[in-house]
Amino acid sequence: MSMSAVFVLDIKGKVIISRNYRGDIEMSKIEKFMPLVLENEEEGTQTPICVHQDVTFVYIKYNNLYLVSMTKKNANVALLFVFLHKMVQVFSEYFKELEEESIRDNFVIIYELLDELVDFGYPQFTETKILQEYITQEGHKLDVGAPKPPVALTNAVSWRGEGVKYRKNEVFLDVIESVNLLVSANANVLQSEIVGSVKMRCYLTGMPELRLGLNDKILFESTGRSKSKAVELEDVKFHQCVRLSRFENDRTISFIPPDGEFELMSYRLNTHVKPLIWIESVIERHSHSRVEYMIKAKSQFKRRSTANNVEIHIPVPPDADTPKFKTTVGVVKYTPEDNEIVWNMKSFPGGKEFLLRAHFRLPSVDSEIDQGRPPIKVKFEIPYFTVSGIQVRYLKIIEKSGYQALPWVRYITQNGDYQLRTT
Amino acid sequence: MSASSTTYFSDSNKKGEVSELKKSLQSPEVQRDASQYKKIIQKVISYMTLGMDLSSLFMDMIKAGATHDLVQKKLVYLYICTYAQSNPELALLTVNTLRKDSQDSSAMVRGLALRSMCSLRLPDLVEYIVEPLLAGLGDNSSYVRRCAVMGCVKLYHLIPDFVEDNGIIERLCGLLTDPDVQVLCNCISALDEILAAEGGLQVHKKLAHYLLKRLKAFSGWGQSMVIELLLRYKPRNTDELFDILNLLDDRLKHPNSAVVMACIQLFIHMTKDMEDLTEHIFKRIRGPLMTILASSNSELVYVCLCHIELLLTKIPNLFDQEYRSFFSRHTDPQYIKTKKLEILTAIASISNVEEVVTELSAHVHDVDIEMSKKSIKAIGEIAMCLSQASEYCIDVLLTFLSWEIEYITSQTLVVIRDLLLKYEKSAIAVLPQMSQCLEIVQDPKGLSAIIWILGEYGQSIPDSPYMLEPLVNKIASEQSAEVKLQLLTATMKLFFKKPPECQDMLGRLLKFCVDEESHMDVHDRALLYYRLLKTNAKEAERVVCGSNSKPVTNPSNLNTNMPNSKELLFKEFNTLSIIYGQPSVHFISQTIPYIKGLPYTQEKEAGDERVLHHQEELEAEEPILPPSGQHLTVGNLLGEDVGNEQQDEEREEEDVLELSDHPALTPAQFEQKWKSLPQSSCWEEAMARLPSTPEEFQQHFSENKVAVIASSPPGQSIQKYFFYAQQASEESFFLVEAVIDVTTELLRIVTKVEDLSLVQQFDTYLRTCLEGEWIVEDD
Repeated sequence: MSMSAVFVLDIKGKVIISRNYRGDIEMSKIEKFMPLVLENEEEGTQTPICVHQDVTFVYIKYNNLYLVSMTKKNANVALLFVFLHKMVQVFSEYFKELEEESIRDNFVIIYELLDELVDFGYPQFTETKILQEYITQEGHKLDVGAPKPPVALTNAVSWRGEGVKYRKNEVFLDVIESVNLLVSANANVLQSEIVGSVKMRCYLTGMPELRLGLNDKILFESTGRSKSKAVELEDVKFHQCVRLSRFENDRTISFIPPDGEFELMSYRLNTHVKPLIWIESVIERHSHSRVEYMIKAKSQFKRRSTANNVEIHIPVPPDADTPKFKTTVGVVKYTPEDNEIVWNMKSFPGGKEFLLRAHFRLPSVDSEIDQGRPPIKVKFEIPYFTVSGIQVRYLKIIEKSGYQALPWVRYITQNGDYQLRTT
Repeated sequence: MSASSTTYFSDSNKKGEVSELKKSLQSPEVQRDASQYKKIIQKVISYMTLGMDLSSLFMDMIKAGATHDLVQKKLVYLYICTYAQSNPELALLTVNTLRKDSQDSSAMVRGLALRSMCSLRLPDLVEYIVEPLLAGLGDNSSYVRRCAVMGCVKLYHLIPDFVEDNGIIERLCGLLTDPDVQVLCNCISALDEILAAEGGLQVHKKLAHYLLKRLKAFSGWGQSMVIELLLRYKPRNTDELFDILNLLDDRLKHPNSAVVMACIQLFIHMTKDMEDLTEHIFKRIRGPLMTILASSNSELVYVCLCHIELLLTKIPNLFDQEYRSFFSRHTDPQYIKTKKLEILTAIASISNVEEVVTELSAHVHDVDIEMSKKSIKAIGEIAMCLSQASEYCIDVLLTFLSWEIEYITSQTLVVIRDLLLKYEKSAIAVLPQMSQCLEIVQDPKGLSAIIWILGEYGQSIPDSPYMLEPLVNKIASEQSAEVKLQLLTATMKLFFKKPPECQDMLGRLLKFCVDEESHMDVHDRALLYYRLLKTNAKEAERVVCGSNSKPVTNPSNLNTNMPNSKELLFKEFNTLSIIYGQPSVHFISQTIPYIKGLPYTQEKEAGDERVLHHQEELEAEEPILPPSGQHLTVGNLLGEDVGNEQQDEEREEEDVLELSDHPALTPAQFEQKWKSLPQSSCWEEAMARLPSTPEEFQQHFSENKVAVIASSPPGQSIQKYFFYAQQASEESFFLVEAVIDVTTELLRIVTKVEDLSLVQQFDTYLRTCLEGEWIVEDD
């Protein structure tokens, strides 16, 4: 990958912390970075990559920080971006929140981490779990139990350390499906996609062997159970602990899990199901006097399910004032700082339809700023339900000491990027 | 760390702090109290982080390194590595501590010591480092071994001979079988860099199969690197090739997108000569690409989109079904929206054109004016390429005019003007709207489009002369030359169509432009028209209204790059080249291959004053091409003074530059000079013709006492040459880089001159040499 150096910059482009890995580029070159970004921003040619002479800056923005890597070679860009995001993940796992303050508070650990993550521009160990075994917030004293490089570094199972112990052995499995939806202004579904993820929290002693059974269509067909309800998964990705060759052979998902929380697998499906929450909007603009909204929200899933914490974000013009709302259900709030109204419903059962009317006054003078036509966005959570119909049939846990462990499974469907364009 | 650490970063009272720190570090009380000592060290590092110069504390910090506290040790070593180069003498003193630490009982300390030692970047110290480093390669802790392996590369860049003198390559090859996968990965990276001059680590069958077998145990980074390395492997037969592809197939499901991208690259590369497979392979990689597209890492999505754009050049209908995935979201960053727009333009086909165009029209409403304009342009391009859909597109475009928004109307007219040339029948519907458009449009581009349409179709618009007239009357206040030029031509054309209405107006216009206009082109064109009319009105009509007066449209879809350069891009898949849309020779300094005995020097600040012409149009900076044997013609073989006397006469006033007949410079000397000298001049000329072979071009130079030292291999779209010459008195050298861009037929010359007073003369000399033969002579 050959990253020459990495920097963390504040929003104004001032270097907070940096690490020079290869010494082949002057560290002062970073001063060219911010002017370039601003210049590109002004010209509307902004991309996450910019160039000064023969130095390429590949960067991401996170919270109010820029994470910038610098290279002189024809680098593998995808790798650089994946790595920068990995860095954000490691830092976040160490400090909860990655921001200017947490970097300044923890600069010693950041230096230690930067030293271990990359050597001479090449990524080394980047798993937080492993790093935490020898870089800790407290720091180490050599004379009291020197830190050894973790066993995992030399182990075949690099993602799990040895000697993990729990009094109560438990596994929590969350099947989370996020729905991405894009609907055009004339109510055509442009895109409807499910991004599923199986997340685990493992609190298990020793080196357990786990096997997960899903209602996988290909598996069911091969074992002659084609009558049962099954799901066809597209583009499945597994955590590195899953033995992919076994999955290819007989569709068994078997693995030794990392300790604690991790994402076991993710998948993606294009669906043609009805959008779970459908919004019809009629917006009447009477320029220079008022704008009226009629928003109809419909839940298009089974009656026995209920969506919780439904939030419908409806954009309004920035110069609107004197809001008036009328609805039978939920709470409506106007948030002028975001130029939107938020219609909040704690619970929204399936097969129902609710209505909101809103009215705003508009000033008699035209506003300078054109807001364009931002979309309506919807947030929701439907527990005990998956759009795809995916089900966990079993989760077997085998450990040589033979303990019994309890698996807990939870299903939830939520909004992903859920947007309905307005007229 | 203590809670008070936040205050380290307060900016107050920085100046006095350094001496304060020095005092604290030297105080015996502090040194006795371990926790306070550590706090002071942390303070030093925090100031260093702030960018303060703390190199004066070097001695005291070295002392602080002799500690049992690992964190303190790390901080001290970080400090030492940062300031070692500014304190080379003192750095010698740390070597002892570091060497001692490299034998510590803790593997963490041994690894840290090795890593730091090799990062001092001081060639003089290498002799002390070699021994512990070699020991580290055989350490029983894998942590130490992987630090040692990377250490080898670090020293190699410092003193290349170190590798050969110590048999490092053999040692590293031995470690390829290390049980620890990270050691193995580091070995590959190291060998690849050390062997860069020979094209990197060679992958033979045994190594390829061995790596494939262990691949799954590697980290994501390791896997992507190994897969990239396998690009160099040529399977013996198709059976082996398919085995490899099958084995790697599940890597397309890896959660680390870098692995997926590397794998996609390998699939494309390995099957590139099997045309019957291409489509199949591309379909296989489509799913994984779509998955990356659904990722929340928008930078990665951008990279993925750039790659999709490239793939489309090979199989244009690859994403026909997925076109909806390229509809942008309100929350997408600008750069993704733009890329998606470009891809939508490219994948529009008969089956999806209505939906694509509807989507694009939705973006015409975008708040961002640029986005809106790009969407309009995109619809125009789709119409250009899909003639079956042109009518539909033009109808959509015409609806934009009714919104009466200045920039939208203006951009739409520009697009429609181009479409008129190809689809006159349907685009002609725009004519009735012209007078209304004229009231809205102010932008010069849009205005020019209107004026052109009025001139071209004036006979079908009843009021056309009266629409032009106000513009003619306002000519004195018009700023844009483009508008004025269009106005001249349009008025001329209209004059031939409707003479009575136009004669007076044309007269006024010509008079103004000839008498008062300061813009040369406008003035000259007016004068040309005036003289034409005066000489022969019939002939003037033929000249002005001939079919050639239509502007040549150049929609970007038709203007695709040479297929050749696309092939080059496929070779550099998964790198920056794809983002820039051009091969790396255009923007990367060629790495200087290792020349024995010559230190691998770092590039000095050579050209801050140089400004890149254009953000995307990256020019390679001071690339040094590998000197290839056959071009090493030192000196002028012919030794004739062709053309020299002639120049002498021509430029009598100037001092004549005497060049040596046999300039002598070795490639290494050239390289050093090239790097150390600032650029003295840079100019560009259109070429009269392209050389048929590189030798032909070089020959011409050597005939003029300018010898070639290196050149790029023939057949590339960008040809580079490095030349040099020497003053006859053998005092100073002249270095020249000549770059021929075959596509644009431009020659760019960069010179670096030792004696700056000779810059002018040398440039003149070069120009004279080139004129007549290669470049067009100045008038």
